[in-house]
Parts: sequence; C-alpha cells; structure tokens
Amino acid sequence: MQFDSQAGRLLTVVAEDDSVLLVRAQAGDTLAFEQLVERHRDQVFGLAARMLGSPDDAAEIAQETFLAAYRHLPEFRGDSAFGSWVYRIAANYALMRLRHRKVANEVETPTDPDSPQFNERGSLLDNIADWGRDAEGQTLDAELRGAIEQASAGLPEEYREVFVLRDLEGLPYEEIATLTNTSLAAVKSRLHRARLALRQAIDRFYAERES
Amino acid sequence: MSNTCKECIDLLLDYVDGELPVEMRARLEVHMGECEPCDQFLKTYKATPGLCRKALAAKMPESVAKKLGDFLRLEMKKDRKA
Repeated sequence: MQFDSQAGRLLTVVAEDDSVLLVRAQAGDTLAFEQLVERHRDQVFGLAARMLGSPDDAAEIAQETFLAAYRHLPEFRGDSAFGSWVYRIAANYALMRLRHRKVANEVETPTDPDSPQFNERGSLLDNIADWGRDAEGQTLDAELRGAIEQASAGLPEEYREVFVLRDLEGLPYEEIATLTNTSLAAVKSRLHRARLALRQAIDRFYAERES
Repeated sequence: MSNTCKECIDLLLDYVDGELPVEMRARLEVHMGECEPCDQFLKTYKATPGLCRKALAAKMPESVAKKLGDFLRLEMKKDRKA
C-alpha cells in the first residue's frame, strides 16, 4: 500500500502474480527472479531451520535451493506453483544434509523420545496439566518457546523431519514417504512418536510452572 | 470390551486424522468419555502441533536475506557470462 500525498489518498499497488514473475524470470529477467526469492525465502529458511535446527545450515540450504531453482528455471513447466516447487527443492536439500550428518556421525545412537508412562494394566500414569483447552489462542512466552525448541532439537532426526514436514509444513503423508524414502506406516509411526515427545515436553513445562 | 489407556493413545494419530474404522472409533470414544486423564491427553495431543508451529516459526534474518541476495546476484552473473 502506498500513499499519494498530492491526491491525499491511498493507492493500492497490485503485486504481480508469481506466475507473471516466473515467465519474466524464465525469459532472463533476474530482477523478477529476485522478487520471487524475496517472496519465498522465509518459507524456505523456516523449513530448513526447523529440520536442521541450525540457522547457519538453513541459510546455506536457502542459497543451494534458490540457485538450483534459478538454474532449472527453463525446465520448470509450472505444473505446480513456483512456491511449492521451490519448497520441495528445499525439503530435498535439507533431507540430504540430514542424511549426510548421519553418515558423518556413525556413532550416533538414536535415543527413544519421551513418551507417556503406563502401569502393567495399560492405564495412564501421568498427571496431565490442563493446557490443551485454549492452546490455539495462547501467546507463547519465551520460556515455553525455549522448551519446545529444546524438545524439537532433541528428537531423533527421522522423527523430527516427519514432524516438521507434516505438522509444521502440512505436506501429505504420501509425499513425506516419498521424500524420506520410507513407508507410509513408518511416517505415521514417527509422527505419532514425535507428537508424544513434544506433548510430553510441553506438559512437563506446565507442570513445573504450576508447582 | 473397553480399550486400555495405552491402546487408546496408540490410536490417537488415526483418530485425529478421522481414519479409524467406525467400531474402533466408537470404542475409543467410550474410553475417552470415562477416563479423564485420556480425555485431557487427547486435548493436549491435538494442541501440540499448533503450539509447536507458533514456537518454531522462523523468519529469515535481514543479514541472511542480504547475503542470499548478494550470493544469487553473483552466481547469476557468472552463469550469464559462461
């Protein structure tokens, strides 16, 4: 939105559609490509930061992603939106980096994430703090944010990647299975365990605050 | 026969996704109606992704955005020369 001081009124600046910018970028207009980058960089950076738990790695993934997108512009036929296309490139790069980390760190033994406790009859032993009711409307304070960040960073990588792709980024299960090269059942199982661990961490946070 | 808490919690992902067969869903809901800890567990399980989305939201810092722009301009220039 801009203000026309002479006419004393607001002017609405209609932003060009991604598809228009894309056509211009494909014709060699680098400024148009830069505008596309500006529109989608937060989403790409956010995905990589959540998956890798490192802003520095996320910045590198953003560079790799947009450079790859630029170099493959002529092949992009527009079957999906530009944002979705770039997003999937970023997801692939982030997953590749995670795989590389695993190979480089062979001694890593994934710890079982936090999960609820039951007695021998299968009854829940935990006392659940009452925080589920109005969670959607809650404003997060820094301490809770920190507790969630810590719990997310502590998840085994194969759980975190599925949780990020599904619960934070909203990708369909089938696509996550393809991206992570695993079965649908494994994706669901990992997601469930990641949610249990994160729920447990939030619950512990509230319980400690109340005590 | 009623489910145990553990059996119910194992089914929560499919329950929340609406993918449980009708009979299993009904048994789980009977349990939830009678077991307050599980009912509370379900509410907090459902609330978890939303809270995490808020907590883990990330915006590219200005300094990183600038570096990205500089990097891409340089690479695009190199590509055009090649």
